[in-house]
Amino acid sequence: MTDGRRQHLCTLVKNRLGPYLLRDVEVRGGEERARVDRHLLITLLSFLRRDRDAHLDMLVDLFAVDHGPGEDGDNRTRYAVHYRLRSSRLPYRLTLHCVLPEDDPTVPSVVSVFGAAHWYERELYDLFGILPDGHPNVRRLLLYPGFAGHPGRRDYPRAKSQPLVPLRRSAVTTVVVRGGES
Amino acid sequence: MKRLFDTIPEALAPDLPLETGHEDLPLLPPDDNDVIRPDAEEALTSVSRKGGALVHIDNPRMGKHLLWTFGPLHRDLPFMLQLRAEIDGDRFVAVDPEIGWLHQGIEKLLESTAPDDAFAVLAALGPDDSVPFDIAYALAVEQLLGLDEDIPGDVQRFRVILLELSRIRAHLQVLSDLARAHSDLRAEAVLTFSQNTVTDLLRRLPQKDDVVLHHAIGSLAASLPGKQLESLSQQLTAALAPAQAIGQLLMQTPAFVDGLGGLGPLKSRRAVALGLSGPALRATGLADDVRVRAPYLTYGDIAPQVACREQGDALARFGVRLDEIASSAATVVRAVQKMDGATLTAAPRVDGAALKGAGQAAVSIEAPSGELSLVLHCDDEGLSRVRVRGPSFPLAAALGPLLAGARLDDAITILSSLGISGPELDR
Repeated sequence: MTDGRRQHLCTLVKNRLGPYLLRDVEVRGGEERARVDRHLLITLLSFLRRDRDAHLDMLVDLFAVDHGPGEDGDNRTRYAVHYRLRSSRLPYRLTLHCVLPEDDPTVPSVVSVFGAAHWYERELYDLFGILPDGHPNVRRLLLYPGFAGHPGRRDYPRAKSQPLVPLRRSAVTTVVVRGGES
Repeated sequence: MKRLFDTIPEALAPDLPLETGHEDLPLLPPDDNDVIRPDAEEALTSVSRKGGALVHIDNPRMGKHLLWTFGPLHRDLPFMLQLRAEIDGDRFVAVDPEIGWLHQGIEKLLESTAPDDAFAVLAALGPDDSVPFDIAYALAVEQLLGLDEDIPGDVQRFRVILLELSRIRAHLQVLSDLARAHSDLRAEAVLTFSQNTVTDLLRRLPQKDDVVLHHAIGSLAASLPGKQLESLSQQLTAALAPAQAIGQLLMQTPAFVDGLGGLGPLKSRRAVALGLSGPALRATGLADDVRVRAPYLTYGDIAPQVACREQGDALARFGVRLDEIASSAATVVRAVQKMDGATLTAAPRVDGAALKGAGQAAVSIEAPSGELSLVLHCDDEGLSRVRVRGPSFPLAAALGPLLAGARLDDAITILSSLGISGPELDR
């Protein structure tokens, strides 16, 4: 694949949506990468999914990276959430990432654009405590409700022990009628 | 639609003593406490609250809904998995799979492990066969170190051979599981025999003097096993002949075709929206394969044939895997033929310090059940993030939509047809 074709997607975005949407564009390993502000994420993903020339209709992966607390106390770039996209028809791949500050680890949920993001965003919350704003059902995915903390974070001690939680029984339940009566 | 298991949180937890058949705790049948009122009764309640009268209700669901939990330990489930299901008669209304039971912390462990030692950790992701994870990890580290353009051709072809043997083994296991789900014990025995033979080949081939050849970065851990490679094609053909014969026979058996046909149906657009790849996607008619779309190693020269079916159901997934066994065997033969017998030097050891400030690497390969994505991030201190997303993750996420509307006794067949690996999910 030539460099010209490799930069197809970022050029397409710049031409159609404006030059300032994508930042830090690079190409490595046959894959384009770029940074996007979180408030523009849904707009950009919707465009990339629906545009015929981009046709990035598959969400391959969605994950977070914790860069750890900043040495000089600057925690504005502590987390990054990565979206790996590819096309089911064209030989293109693109990874977008949003940078999040430590005091506001929130990204807009992209479930409305990619249904496959449902579990990825639950995992994002579970392991990193990053809240997908607008997700239809945010709860833990791999860990249990009584788990304290988010073990994907770099400041989570690897040897940390967790409180014991009682086993809940499922044999007898109360009747709950749809509509709110019991 | 609001689902019952969102409404009754206390019914969600597993009851391990009950489900494992502890003597002191007999398994209880569902009672009235588990019964939820049908739609018509709900509508009556709603109307009477407003002071009106119910005249007509469209398509009332008169069956009573039960909330039931299967697993996480159940003899029919292939791994630790809990299916929390809302049931109407003998059909699923909604299913919520729960996958977090092992808490292995593999990604966290990998972040603090030197590249050469990481293969021991990756083995936990595929207890039966970790070849796809091993090779994806090696490719990612090679990309980080800038070695990816310099990997000798024979090393790449050897990796291709291992990946294809791994694919054949995994496909035979899925076919065997489907034959068992269909109670065809003869077919299961033949397929399991072939699977064991291929597993044996896959274990013996990369072993040399207690060294695993592909557990190395940039090359192999030792020189190639020339004699074993010469006889590999014949051994593989002999091992697969009975499996392919019984597989073709099953595809022509009306009871088998009727049993699997129409189960867990998917259209290609729906499969793409669910993020599926591999045989599950190719069974919907979309010829999507990372080996062909973005060739890695020497797949560009070997050009494996992509198997496709149109129906998108469990039978089509069976057919795709059966076709891919033949295609992968042909790929192995071509890769062996293209070996040029070059003298290889063993790869030097790579420790964690080599990765300091190396940046980011992302690798995607075609694993047996779909795309395996592996991403490495390095900062000034070394490896800071390892992300392993196996094909089982989107497949397990799709279980809910796939099982909704299906009959209870088809659940295991649909689950088996997807080829989900439990340890890969619960990383």
